[in-house]
Amino acid sequence: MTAPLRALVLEDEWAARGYLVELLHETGLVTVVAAVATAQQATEALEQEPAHVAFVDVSLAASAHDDSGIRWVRALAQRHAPPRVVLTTASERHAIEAYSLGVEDYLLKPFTSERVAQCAQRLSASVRTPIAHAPAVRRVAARAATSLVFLPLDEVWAFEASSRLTFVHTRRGRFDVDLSLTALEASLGPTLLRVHRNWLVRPESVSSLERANGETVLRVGEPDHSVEIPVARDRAMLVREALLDASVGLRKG
Amino acid sequence: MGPFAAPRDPIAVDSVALALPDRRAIAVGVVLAEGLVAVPLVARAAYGVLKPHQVVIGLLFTLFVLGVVMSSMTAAFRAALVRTRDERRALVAACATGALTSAVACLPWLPIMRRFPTAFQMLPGEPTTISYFLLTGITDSLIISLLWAAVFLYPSAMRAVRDRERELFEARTEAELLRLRSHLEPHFVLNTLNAIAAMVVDEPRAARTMLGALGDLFRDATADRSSEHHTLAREVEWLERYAAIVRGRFGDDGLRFECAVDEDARGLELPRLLLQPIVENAIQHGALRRDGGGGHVSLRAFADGDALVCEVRDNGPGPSGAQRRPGARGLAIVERRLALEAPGSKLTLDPHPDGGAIAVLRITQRKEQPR
Repeated sequence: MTAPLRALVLEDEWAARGYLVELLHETGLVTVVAAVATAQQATEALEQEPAHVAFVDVSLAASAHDDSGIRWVRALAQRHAPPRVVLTTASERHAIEAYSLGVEDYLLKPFTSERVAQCAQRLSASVRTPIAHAPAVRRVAARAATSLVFLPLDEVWAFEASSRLTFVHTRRGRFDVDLSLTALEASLGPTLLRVHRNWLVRPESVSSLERANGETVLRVGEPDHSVEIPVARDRAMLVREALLDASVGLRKG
Repeated sequence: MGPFAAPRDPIAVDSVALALPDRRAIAVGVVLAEGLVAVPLVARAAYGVLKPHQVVIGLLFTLFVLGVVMSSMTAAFRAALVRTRDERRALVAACATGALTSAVACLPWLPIMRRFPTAFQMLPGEPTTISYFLLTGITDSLIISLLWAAVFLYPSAMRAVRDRERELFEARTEAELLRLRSHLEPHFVLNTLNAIAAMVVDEPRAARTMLGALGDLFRDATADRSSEHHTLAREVEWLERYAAIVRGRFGDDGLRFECAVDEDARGLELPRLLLQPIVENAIQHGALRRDGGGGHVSLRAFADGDALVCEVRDNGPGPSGAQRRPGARGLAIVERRLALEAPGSKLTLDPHPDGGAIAVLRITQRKEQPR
């Protein structure tokens, strides 16, 4: 397979989730199409974004059942063309049990880029079939309360972070996202600009750039519904140049 | 004095069934046995069958033989115990020694026996050869040997066995406690390390804080301390650090942890980190299992008579069979520690009337100082 593998990440801990997404994208072999915190959301996500492989935390806490990671994996077997499964776990004990479930591999915590890279290489080598009916357009998995919403990337204006809450601003409104900006940057790649510690912007949606009192401010969205985005001082130059590069009309300088 | 206080031979050499040191026990034994022997002699003398001087000779003889036999049996018994650590073999060795030494002890009396056969209650026509004396010495002494073995040596051996078993039990308990106590689950540590690795780039300050907190927990959990009990105040400190780590991993809205400890309960003592598995249970199986976040764990502690009561409440889905499974060892460990370290204490886990679960731990305060 030459195209990257499509992956789903099911991990209930915030920091661990973003970490795995970053490491997977670093390998260049995997694209994470959805990263979710509950088994329920994972099932929904698979409906919308079929995947070759699912990385599942074996000891999910946020559910009324014990071992819900394992239960979800077992339920997968009922599906038509289920994704391969890699269990993420702190202990190798689960790895032994894993083979009885027919999972492909396991990843030990703490994650390291070497281990994740090796796992991705093994998967790449063994997964041959492309996925039929995979959406051609890149989409972002977001949440409205507990239900999932998949937004095509070209509808995204910007991502905003506030401590560990991440939001995505779109014409349809503001939604929750369960990944850090860094993890989003890693997975959506160079299409986005990190203009500020707390803001990740899609350049195509920028409608204006203003300077006032030494502060640079971007505006995204539509005239009747726009969002003001601060630009970090040390990035102002770069941001301006990047935006100008992408457009025509103005002279630089 | 605990089992590891000072190295000593587990077969206690100084304790005795009669609760006397060996020499005194032998002296008492000899005197008692001598008394038993004296009665028939004196009775016969009363009937004129024996003359006073014959009684005296008889008494002296038996005194001598008894002293020799009992001392040698005891010495042989001790030596055999130390060497073979097998009470039965030691008893057999003692009896054999008793038989031999009694025969040998009779020998010096041979000429006196020939001179005063009546004093020795010898039958007319009984041979007076050495071999005969040896043989009869051995056979006649059997009863002394066996009696002495039964009255003195055997109970002493039993006491030695009990001592050894008690030492073994204490050693096992100590080992088990050590195993139960160092209770920072690897699972917890590894997941926390993973979270720290994740935060290092984007949230370096938070990563450092979590590293420090984890280090503190680890240090406390593995510290070698003179006392394995500490105050509730210290316990609460530890638990708050633990909860801060869990919050750091799951996000602030995933978990709230509150402690309400009565002033008069702060100084009360409990086994170190006894509450940790209970709080962990409330977090992992309670607060974090709420669909949609907002998990909440609260600890309330107060004194009730001579007991310390700790209530751990969570607003999760409530206790289920899952929490008593072999996989969920936490509560089983607490119960085991209670049995070993705070007997008379009790742990219960029930659904709370307002939802979620409540674990109630009632710790009887110890009366004496810790070792």
